[in-house]
Amino acid sequence: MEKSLITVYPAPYYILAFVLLTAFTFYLPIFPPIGGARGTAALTWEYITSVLHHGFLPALCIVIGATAHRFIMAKALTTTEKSSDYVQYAQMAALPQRKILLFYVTRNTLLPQVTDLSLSLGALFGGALIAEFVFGYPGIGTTMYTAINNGEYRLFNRQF
Amino acid sequence: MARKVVLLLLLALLTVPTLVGIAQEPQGLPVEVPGGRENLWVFDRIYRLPTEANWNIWKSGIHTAFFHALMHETFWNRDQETGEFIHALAAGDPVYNDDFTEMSVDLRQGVRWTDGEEFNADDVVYTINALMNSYPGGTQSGWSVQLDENGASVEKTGDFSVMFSLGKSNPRFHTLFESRWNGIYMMPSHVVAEVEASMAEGESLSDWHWDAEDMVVLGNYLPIDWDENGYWQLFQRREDPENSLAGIITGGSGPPYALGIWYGNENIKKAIAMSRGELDVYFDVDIESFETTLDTTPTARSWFTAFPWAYPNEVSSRAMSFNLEGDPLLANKDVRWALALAINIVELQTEYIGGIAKVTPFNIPPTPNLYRLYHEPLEQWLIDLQIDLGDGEMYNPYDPTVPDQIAAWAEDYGHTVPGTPRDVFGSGWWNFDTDAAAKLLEKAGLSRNGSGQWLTPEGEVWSLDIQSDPSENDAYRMGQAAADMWSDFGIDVNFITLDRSTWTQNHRVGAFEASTPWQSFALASGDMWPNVRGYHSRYYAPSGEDYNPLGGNSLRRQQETRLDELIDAMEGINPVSQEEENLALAHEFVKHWVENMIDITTIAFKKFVTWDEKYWTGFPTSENPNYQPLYWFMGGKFAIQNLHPTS
Repeated sequence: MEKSLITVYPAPYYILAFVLLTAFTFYLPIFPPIGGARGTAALTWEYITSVLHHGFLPALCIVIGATAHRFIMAKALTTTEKSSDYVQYAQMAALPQRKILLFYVTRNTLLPQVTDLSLSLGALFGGALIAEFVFGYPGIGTTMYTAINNGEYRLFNRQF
Repeated sequence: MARKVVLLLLLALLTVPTLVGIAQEPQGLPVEVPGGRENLWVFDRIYRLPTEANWNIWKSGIHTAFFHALMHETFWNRDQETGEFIHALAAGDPVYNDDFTEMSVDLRQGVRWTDGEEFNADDVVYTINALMNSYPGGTQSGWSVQLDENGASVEKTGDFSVMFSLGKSNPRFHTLFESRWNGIYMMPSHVVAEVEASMAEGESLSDWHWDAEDMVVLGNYLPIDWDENGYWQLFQRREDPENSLAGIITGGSGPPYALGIWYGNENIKKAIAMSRGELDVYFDVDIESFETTLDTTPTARSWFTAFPWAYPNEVSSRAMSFNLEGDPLLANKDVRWALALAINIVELQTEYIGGIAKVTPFNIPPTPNLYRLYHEPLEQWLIDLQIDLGDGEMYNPYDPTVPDQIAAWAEDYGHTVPGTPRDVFGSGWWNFDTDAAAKLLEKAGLSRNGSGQWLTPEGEVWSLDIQSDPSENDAYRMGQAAADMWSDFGIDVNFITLDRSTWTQNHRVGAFEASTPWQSFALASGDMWPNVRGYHSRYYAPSGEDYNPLGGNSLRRQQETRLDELIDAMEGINPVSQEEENLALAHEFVKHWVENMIDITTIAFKKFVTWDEKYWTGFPTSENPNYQPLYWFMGGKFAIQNLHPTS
């Protein structure tokens, strides 16, 4: 698993986007190649699922790369925590390994992870220019791309 | 533990898309219609439109692409291949008096608006008066200006006949009502008159916002839904298609629903969508995406079933055009000639376009009719043409062997060339001769630095911006080819990609140095004046001002006395009874344009207008060319109306 994640981690997410686009819109065509939803916006089950359906691949390509990054980060944090004094003390107290890992090490490694995850969630909604371009998704990234192309500097600046 | 996590992740990856996917059949279409895909015709909408919900199509600045064929009508359509009239709302040809100051038109009977009212002379009279008096903000295609210039007025001479009176003689007045791309769209007088009467003081039809639910049209379709982001539009067939014009002419009713989708500027998405059965026709793609379609969609085909596949006879051509008031160097014809000689046309046509389009050295496509009228008679003049490279050195720039070189490339590539090289690949073009180009730039005062870069007479690196819109892939690739070749030649080229709306706006106000527009000097019939009248200096607008409200075409910001003289001379000639004199003037116009290299024209249009027959059949093909396949033109309505379900 670690080898897989190390392989995925450095790959730019737009490469992954093209792989997902080809895989899930052409070879296994279960996702739409463009668009943000079906039909007109409404509070209906059909519309809400269509938003999820259209947004799944763009979100996935961003999430996969970020997930790999977090797994590697988690491993580094865990290794550091495991060499901490309190872990050694817990081992000397003969606490079960599972308990040490779940209730001591994991809790401490989660702090920076959750903080980083919360901060990065904004990126999903703040516009992922390349992912939206590849999937023809009408999000803020697409608006930014259009603003750049059209020289609409005010619109572009407002997005920061 | 790790193995379990991986398995859980994989399971989630497979389950979520599958569940969501199952809930969303069919996958890629943005709307569903009653009867499903068998009732829905899906077409490529070419580019994204920013003004979806205002259908006041007569207003200046409203885009017309692809929906005018579905909804609007004028008097005549012009067959793009033969140049023949197709009578639309007019029952016959225009009838002029002896001095061409009056034009009578008999109207077709039995064509009905979607609310059941019959189209009649009142609609014509109202439309002309509204265009001339009720659109102070300007009208679509400069119609109000042209009607004004002709001193036009119209009167009803019967329920189904009208007569136009003109303030000056004009044997071509009818071309305002003759559509290649469009012609004056008729208004439902019984609807628009009420709208106009209800407007507040100070308001005009320029302020009118026509909502979809209020629309009444002569065409076969009405808009019923659309995406606010401009990605798609859904149209529904009228209840009585037999009363639409295309219904009367073709006898067909057309698909119950028509959906236009914009798949973005990446051509491959159109190929993917067609392979998924979610696109019935696309207007054009690049050669790679077309080949993908052939590989992945067995039911798809273009105009020909084999090389060169694409529809070759759209009456327009691609050119590198310049703002002559932009970079001062570009105002020098020697510089423009140097740029032309620095383009390798064989490489452009083969490596960038795929060997499909016809080559032409001036803004007239070598369709069979226009090749006979223009390219053939001007061939010897082109061969004999000489330009001055400086110090009295004269140079023959024309290479008549270009089609043979492209044919040789095609055969090397394994294609069979179906005809003579000139039939398939057009005419000759300019030599690829960078030595001659360098002499011309040196003549214009430029020099080279140690890195081979061209320097302006002031000693700065010469930088050239090219703007292009990717939705027209031939023009875009032509621009890319020119950028690559001019960069290799030592020019600092900046290639800028713009959305269609911005690109068009930049043209109108002259905010560009070089661009990739398209045009034809001649109509399909060969007549030139209607297409070049807009180049007259009277329509000149300086850079920074919009030329569109003036009713002409000042894209290049040129003002040339010789062109004005030729345009004026053509205007006074009857294109039918004085055909030879008209053509002689047209040839002189082409010669002047070429000698001064005002544009660098490269290729005629090719269109990989490609149809998938999985759901709908009856599309025009080279074997059955019943109607033009260009569905986004007004005349494209006949091909649409002629469709029937494959099943």
